[in-house]
Amino acid sequence: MRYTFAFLDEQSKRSVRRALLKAVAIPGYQVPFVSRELPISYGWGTGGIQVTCALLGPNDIVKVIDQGADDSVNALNIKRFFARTADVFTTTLTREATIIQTRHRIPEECLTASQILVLQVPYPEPLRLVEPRETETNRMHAEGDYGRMYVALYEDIVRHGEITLPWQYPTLVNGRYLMSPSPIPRFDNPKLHMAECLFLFGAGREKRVYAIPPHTAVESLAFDDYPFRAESFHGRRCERCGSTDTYLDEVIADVSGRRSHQCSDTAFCLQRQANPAHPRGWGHDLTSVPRKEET
Amino acid sequence: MAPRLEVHDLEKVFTLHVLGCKRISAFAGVSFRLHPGECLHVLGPSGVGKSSLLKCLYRTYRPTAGRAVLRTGNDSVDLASAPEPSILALRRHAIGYVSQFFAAIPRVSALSVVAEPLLDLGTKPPEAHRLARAMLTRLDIPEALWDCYPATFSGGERQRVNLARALVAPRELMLLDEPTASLDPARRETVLTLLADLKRDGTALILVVHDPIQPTLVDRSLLLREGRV
Amino acid sequence: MTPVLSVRDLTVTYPSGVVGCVDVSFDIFPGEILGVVGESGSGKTSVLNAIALTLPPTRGSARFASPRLGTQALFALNAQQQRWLRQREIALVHQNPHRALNFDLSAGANVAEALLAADWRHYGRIRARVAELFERVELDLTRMDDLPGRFSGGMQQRVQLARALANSPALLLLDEPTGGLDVSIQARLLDLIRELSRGLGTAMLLVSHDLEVVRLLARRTVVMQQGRVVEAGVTDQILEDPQEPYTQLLVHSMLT
Repeated sequence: MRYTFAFLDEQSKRSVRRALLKAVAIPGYQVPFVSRELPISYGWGTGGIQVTCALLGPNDIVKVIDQGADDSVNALNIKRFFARTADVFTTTLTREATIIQTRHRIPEECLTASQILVLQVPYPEPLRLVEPRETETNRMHAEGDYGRMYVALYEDIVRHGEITLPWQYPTLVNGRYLMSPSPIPRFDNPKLHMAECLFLFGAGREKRVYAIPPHTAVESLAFDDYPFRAESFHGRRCERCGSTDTYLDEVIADVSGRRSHQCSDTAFCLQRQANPAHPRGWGHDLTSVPRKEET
Repeated sequence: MAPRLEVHDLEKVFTLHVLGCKRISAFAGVSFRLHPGECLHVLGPSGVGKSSLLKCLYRTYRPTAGRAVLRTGNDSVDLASAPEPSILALRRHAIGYVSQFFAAIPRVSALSVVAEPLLDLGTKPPEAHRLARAMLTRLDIPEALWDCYPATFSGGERQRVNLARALVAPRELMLLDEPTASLDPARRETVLTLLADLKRDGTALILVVHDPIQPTLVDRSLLLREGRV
Repeated sequence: MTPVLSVRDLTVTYPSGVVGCVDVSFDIFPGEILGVVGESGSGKTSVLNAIALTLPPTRGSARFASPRLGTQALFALNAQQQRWLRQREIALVHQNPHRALNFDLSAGANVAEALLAADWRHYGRIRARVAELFERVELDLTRMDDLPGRFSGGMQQRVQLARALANSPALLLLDEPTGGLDVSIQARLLDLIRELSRGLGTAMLLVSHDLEVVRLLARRTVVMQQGRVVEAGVTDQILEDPQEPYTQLLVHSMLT
């Protein structure tokens, strides 16, 4: 079976790229686009796949991860799809890839100016948490009227003593648009700020793309006296590589039910196993801030 | 000295639309001059329009014709035709009115009722309350009642609170419609003494009373007969 | 004295062709409560909603003396400017708290929303201000984090009042604030409104079908019928010497 390069026809790719250019020009703003049919259902990464397909060239090297792992079923399927339809090289090494498609994590290793991270987004609208009507969320974005998002955070502090949103933590991009960073854990939010790489977000079912160009200010919402805190894994380390500064998954290690922790980013974990001092390399301080009760 | 109040041909006719535009004349052709410190006694048979005259000057009734020019400081205002905001300002600063009916705001203590005109003038609450207490004392309202609601008082007590409120702040023109109606003779005397004090301070008074009063209080009389002077 | 609000020739015609109000003009001065009285269909609600900037007028002007921005021609402002004023300087208390409050958020969060819309970003200070407002409207501080559904109707209205006063508005619009409440609750709420007017000096537009409410609170009153102003005057004059046929009818229909 022969496919057009990267499955989509050239017109479709061009139309997606036009939407992406607009998205890059207006950081954080959700640009509507016409989502094409893919041999995969909505909800499984069609947005991210269309973005990647629109950008792939024969010299690109693609990495696909799902929850940080290169070897999950979904990641492998998508990676194989790109390999077959675009005949490009694939890799698990973060620094080798030119395009990285991801669901739910940003890689631990710092991305460079020649890399693009494509994130899969199920729910692009950050305000949906507080407002069901599309007409109203459109107006709120147009007028920069985000007070109600802060009300949700206020209520969170009232109920729990701190902001407890675990992922999809809303951010203000370039001081203007409120953006959902997709369901990445809040641990990854700081990586969006003033990065070297390009971040692209694709929501196939909701038919939106948005972008954070390099060196863009991305601020996670917080109060002056309740600053943004990433999760901390105090006292825990990866069982395989010993890291204490990566995002850890909690797993049931063996039949006895014993719990252990492992780096979510499997490729990075392998790097650290080979060299425990392998740096993450992001420009600014990403160290987790301890939770209130622990200080 | 220029008169405080000059009334020219003041007239009040009620038009009752609900009764097929029936017209009732309250009074007509009323003219007089009143100087600071003077007390005008308005006389006449019952129903002749004495209360209506006072209400017209206070603008509770709208005069249908004529003028009533009030001079305060350098300003003169025609009470009959002045716009509402001016009337409200005058009621705050210059004109007082008291009748035998106590239109009390419910659930406000006697002390607060009496302090209100002073607070409206911008007097600081501690000072306003001090003056209110002094006035209540002067009018023989026992301290125990100061924090109670006047609606629960006897007729005489209510009237004295009413008077206290009307007299606590200095006024240029004071309109009094049967102010001592429900008071016993001793308390009536107190009120009349207070009015004499007001006169001395330069307030012009217009008084409607049925009981005989000291000739020294009244300077002039105005007799209304069947709606005309 | 310059009015806080000067409305001239306000006319609202709904898209269906129904006339809301026609050629309505009035002023509201600093520190005063202006009553607008009328029965159903009088147009008083159209007037209120036009001033509240939730309903665009067909014709007319409204000059507002904004303490922060100076004189503004309300109806000529764009949507964003109107929202700015609505969030900070012109506050509305609805007749029905269900339309105004978010019943999924705590009472305190409802009040905080007004502050957050005005760019308050310090949680501690927001809490302190909400507590201050709760005290001002005589709500129990311990209930700050309760959901409004657990409050009585009168208390829900107080939450609305607290939120309306959060940013110290220059003009407070009250739409039948005591409608549907028990008499004793009504009385206490009216007392509170009077206290707030005296204490804060906020100018208020009070819309009511009930002359008793207006008698209690408003020093000046405007009477409306079928979309037009029929009579305007000092409140005791409207009640004791109504001039126009409709006003006389209204006053003579009062129960007391």
